[in-house]
Amino acid sequence: MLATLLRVENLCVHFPQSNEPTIREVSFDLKRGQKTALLGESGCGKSLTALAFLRLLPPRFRATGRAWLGEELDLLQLSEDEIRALRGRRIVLIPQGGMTYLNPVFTIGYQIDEALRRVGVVAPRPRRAKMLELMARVGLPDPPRLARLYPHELSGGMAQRVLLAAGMAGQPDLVIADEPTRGLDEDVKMSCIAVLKDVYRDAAILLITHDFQVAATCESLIVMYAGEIVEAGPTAIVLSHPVHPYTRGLLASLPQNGLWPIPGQPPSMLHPPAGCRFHPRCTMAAEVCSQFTPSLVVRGGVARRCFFA
Amino acid sequence: MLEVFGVTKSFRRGRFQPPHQVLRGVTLHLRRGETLGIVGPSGSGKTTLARIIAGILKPDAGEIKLEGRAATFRTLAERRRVQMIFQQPTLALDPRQSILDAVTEPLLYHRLVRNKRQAIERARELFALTGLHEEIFLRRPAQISGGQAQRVVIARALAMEPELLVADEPTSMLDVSVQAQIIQLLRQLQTRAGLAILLIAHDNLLVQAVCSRYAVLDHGVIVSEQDNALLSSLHLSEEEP
Repeated sequence: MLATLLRVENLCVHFPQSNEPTIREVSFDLKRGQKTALLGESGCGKSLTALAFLRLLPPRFRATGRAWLGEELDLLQLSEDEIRALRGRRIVLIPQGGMTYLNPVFTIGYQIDEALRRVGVVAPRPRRAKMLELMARVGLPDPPRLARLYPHELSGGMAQRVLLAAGMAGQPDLVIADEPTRGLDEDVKMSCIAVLKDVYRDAAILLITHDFQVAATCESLIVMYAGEIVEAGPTAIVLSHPVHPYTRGLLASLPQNGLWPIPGQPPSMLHPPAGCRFHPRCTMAAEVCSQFTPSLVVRGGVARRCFFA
Repeated sequence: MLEVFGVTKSFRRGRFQPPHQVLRGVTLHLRRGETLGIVGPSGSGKTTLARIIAGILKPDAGEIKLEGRAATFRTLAERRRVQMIFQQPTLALDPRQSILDAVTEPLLYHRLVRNKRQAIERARELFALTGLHEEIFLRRPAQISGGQAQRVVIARALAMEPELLVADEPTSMLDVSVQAQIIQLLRQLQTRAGLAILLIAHDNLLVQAVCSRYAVLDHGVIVSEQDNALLSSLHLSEEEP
């Protein structure tokens, strides 16, 4: 049995303009040494969920609920100083889009070094050795030369790996990778994921993605739609026997499954539909779906939020 | 209907470096109403080829023929025959122009309609064809979703009544369910209007799912070209426009 590292309970996020929570009742566990994929389409609240328990929400956004790190720390109740002490050390966020998160006026080496200094590796010589080691571990070629380069001299895949290397500075327990493969080529994409899994073997990884291929490499899968978890369970089961109509719709829209589109458009996150948030686009929807909100029910190891699944 | 013979193209890289040869003799052909796929890794020259076929770039050497005659893209009528849709639909639209103007402007410029009123009329038809609703007509590109923007770009291309549509990674920036919607839309337009489509993508699975034939481009040359035996019978869904 793997130890639970992060337990998120009933996490809700309120937008500044609205009273209703936009992200509603998100609960999940992350276990040490396990990779969990958070899958959903753009704007469904995947990143906001992660930012909420990292306490990095934009101004005037409010989060409620609990996020237990280990036994005793509730991330949502910590003071700003306490959470700052955790970020970069026990919790690491690998943001999407390598290029935009690297500072264009500093060298790669300087920026990895900065992460090392922050986690308290002080003496210059071991720090440099450690920096080169980290770069080699993420598969960057010729670290001493590369360390002198500036971000614009790298390709997208390399920039992403630099962020991976910087994230490894503190040997975190919890790693949140937000779309680490966006904009990367097919083969680079899979090798980036392989590096990520290899490097953080003992940590709990939350991989935010909209890519089924990437999600399939994780042990467990959470599917989100319009700010709610609609289905969650072991990846192999969810992908082979999807139960929620949205998960089924997504799978059917893949090229290899015939490109069947889901009718309609995702709802506005400010005014999500009443009842089940998927009902306006659902082929199985009935009267009850527009009036009542289904709750997340676990059956056969898979949680689903649907009256009929 | 489209024949491309030995097209080459290089770009300058600065004074002291040799030019970068992106295309080194590409030859391919496309029949009326057919969908040809072009796949290849990034940097293989896919987009450059697309832009040359659409007449946006001039090749260094080689020839492009439409219906047996060399395409010069000199007259408006000739430029209308090949239209292009882009990878980043929100960047392919003028941020300060409303959705409606994005489609009526080319109609007026090409004198396909007599006045603004007719242009709006025609734009409405095109928006209905591509599944866009009236309420977004006056919005700007930043106020609509990526899928909607791609529909606008497709409507704008169709306004020119093209024979060939060059689709350069039309769905790689979109979510999978939106990808399915856009691809189905292209398929329906193809059967309705007899369009030929050149579909450029990096996703092998996508090309294999929709193209009857596909070519693999690598380092500026076509390394293989084959009929798509795997073409699964594609379902045209009923409910989606």
